[in-house]
Amino acid sequence: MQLMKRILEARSAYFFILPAYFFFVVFTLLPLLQGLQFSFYDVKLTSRTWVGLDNFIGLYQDPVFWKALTNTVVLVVGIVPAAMAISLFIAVIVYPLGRGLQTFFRMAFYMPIVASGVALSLVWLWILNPTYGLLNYVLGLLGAGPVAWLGTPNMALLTVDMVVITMIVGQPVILYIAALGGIPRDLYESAMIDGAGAWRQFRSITLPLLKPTTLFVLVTQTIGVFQVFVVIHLMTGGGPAHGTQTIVYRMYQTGFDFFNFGTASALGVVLILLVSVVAWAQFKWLGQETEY
Amino acid sequence: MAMHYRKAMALLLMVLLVCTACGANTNDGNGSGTSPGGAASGGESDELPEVEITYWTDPRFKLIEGMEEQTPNNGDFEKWQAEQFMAQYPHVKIDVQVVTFEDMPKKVPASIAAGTQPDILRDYLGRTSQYAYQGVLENLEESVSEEELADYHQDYLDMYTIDGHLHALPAYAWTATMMLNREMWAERDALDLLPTREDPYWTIEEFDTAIRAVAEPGKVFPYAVHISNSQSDNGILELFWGFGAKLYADGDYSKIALNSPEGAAAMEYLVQLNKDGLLPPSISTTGPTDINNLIWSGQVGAYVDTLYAKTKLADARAEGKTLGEPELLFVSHPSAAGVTSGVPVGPTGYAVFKQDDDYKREWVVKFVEFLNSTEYQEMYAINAGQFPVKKSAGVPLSDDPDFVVMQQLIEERGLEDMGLTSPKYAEVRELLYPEVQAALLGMKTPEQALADYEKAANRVLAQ
Repeated sequence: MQLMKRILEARSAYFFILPAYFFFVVFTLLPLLQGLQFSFYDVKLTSRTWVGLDNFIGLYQDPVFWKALTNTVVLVVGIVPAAMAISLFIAVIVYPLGRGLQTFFRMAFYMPIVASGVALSLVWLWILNPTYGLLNYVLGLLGAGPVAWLGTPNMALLTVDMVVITMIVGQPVILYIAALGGIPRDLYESAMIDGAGAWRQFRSITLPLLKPTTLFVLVTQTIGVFQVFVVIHLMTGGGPAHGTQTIVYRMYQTGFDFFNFGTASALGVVLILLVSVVAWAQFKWLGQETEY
Repeated sequence: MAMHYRKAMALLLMVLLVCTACGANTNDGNGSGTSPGGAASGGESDELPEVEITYWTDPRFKLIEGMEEQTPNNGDFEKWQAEQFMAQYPHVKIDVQVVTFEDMPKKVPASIAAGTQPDILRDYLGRTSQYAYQGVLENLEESVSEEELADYHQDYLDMYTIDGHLHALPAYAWTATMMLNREMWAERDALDLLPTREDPYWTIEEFDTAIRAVAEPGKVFPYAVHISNSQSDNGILELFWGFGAKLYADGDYSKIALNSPEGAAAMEYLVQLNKDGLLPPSISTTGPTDINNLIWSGQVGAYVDTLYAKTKLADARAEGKTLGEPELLFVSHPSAAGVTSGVPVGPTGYAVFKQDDDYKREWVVKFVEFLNSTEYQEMYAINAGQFPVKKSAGVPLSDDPDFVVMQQLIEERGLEDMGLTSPKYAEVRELLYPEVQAALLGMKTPEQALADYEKAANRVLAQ
């Protein structure tokens, strides 16, 4: 009753979020629930049979799943902190520049976000080609290489790390630059009067006051990297020898190569649980003393 | 007066309305009206109810001989074919979509799951057979006339018959064998190391000597095999067959037979070639297009391919993507002593997805028969190096010496079984290449890789 009353009171607000909420329910929530349901079924293209926990047991027994899980975690751990550190570094350098230069760099770093991931991956494939790629050509001029950038599991995973970082730093750069503009200048002036150096100012003023932005960037980047797909699909196909296999790519393969939509849904459930736990931990860790 | 006039007009309109409704009722599209077979072009077709057909096709043809300007891209030829049909039957509207070979295994299942599948799909037997097992295809023996079916080579019809039903209409087939860039051996005065079209057979030892004769560390990698994904898996399978190993034993699709001493010998040989620098770097992730480019630039000399490679080479020449003058020679895949391995056949066919409307089904099948006419069978053969499946097409490439070699290989060595119509073909073929990659990268011994493949594949086959 109390709830209904509150909803009625805020009915105009609910009216305004209705379109977005409608699309969220139809295109996110319902498919998510159906995915959860499918994870307990053997789902073929035109039929389904209840199998209980068999899909999850199958995953537990599948060495490729464990490889995909490990790689996914390695990608998140490798990419997210690096991307955040790089974007913060770029933001701190770009922020003091004049308006024109700042705009230029903002645009330059944001460009990969606007460009299609497919186009970027194909360009990277050409750059990394072992025989006629640009990178090995440059290395050749320096008397080094050639390097099989995608030829071995470890190197391929490292290369994927690097490529994904170049694609995702743009957004945090923009966010950090905006957040830096929101820090009151008088805090720095007071610190300078107290004799604080640049590093101390950064550590004691900039970093703490960027915490809300850092939390947002951390959570969104983590979720994004958990779901990296295009780069893997186009550049490595999860190989070589499952060296760049990830949960999302395995989910795609299981569904659309093996037509095993039940197991693919089970992989989706595992991914959701994993992302949820990590996001919850991040909120717990960084969100406690954050003011928005 | 005016009142009477209005009443008369209203009555006349009612009569016209009833007449129009009755007229429409004679063409209500329930199959009881005019049949496609009875329709002709022009005015009669105009009176038939409209039919909209969606046709998805693989990107097989471009730069068709004599139609080069009309067909510069994949899909242009198929659209042209559809236009010919629509000109003949103006009430038929055909939407042609080209799906890349990479997307084909994903887009079609996704469309089936979403209920948005096309009416007609031209695709590889290994994939259409999987859709047949899912029960989403028409049984064409019920719709295609006996007269039409009598024109097909029975072997192909048998290949396309699953559980007693013709799940698709075969269109054409490739066969693949060892393709050599003869120029590389000619430049090094080593042509005597290669087999000839007159005697296309050779042993693994002879092959080994030939590829080592043209190898240049870091520059020329004389042999390539495609293992970056499951596509073109016939290449790696031909190596296994060359050593006497079989994917399945005697058509028994319940278990894998590749994990054998012969299979291990093949894998060990491949690993050794890689260690010796005879395979391109990053071979584990090098796709067919890159391998082709290496051949066109004289960096790879031997690779299993189909006659379609000649078309690809011609296209590459036209686009200035060749170095030197690559000259292709097709010979038998080398075999170990005492082994006479055959060749794979990869047929492509027209599958028709289940139709609710009898009338539409008739027109869909009529269009499929049109696409498989004798005239087009000849064009398929000439423009993509494919073997016709209809008797009336004869042997369109009989003056092509490479075609003659392939025909000879089929006749003398027979066909190998890739398990194209196995119910688990799609899944099993995804399991081999990662294990070959693991062996090449030294992550597993050849024996371990084969054992792991057998274990994973048998688990899938047992489901």
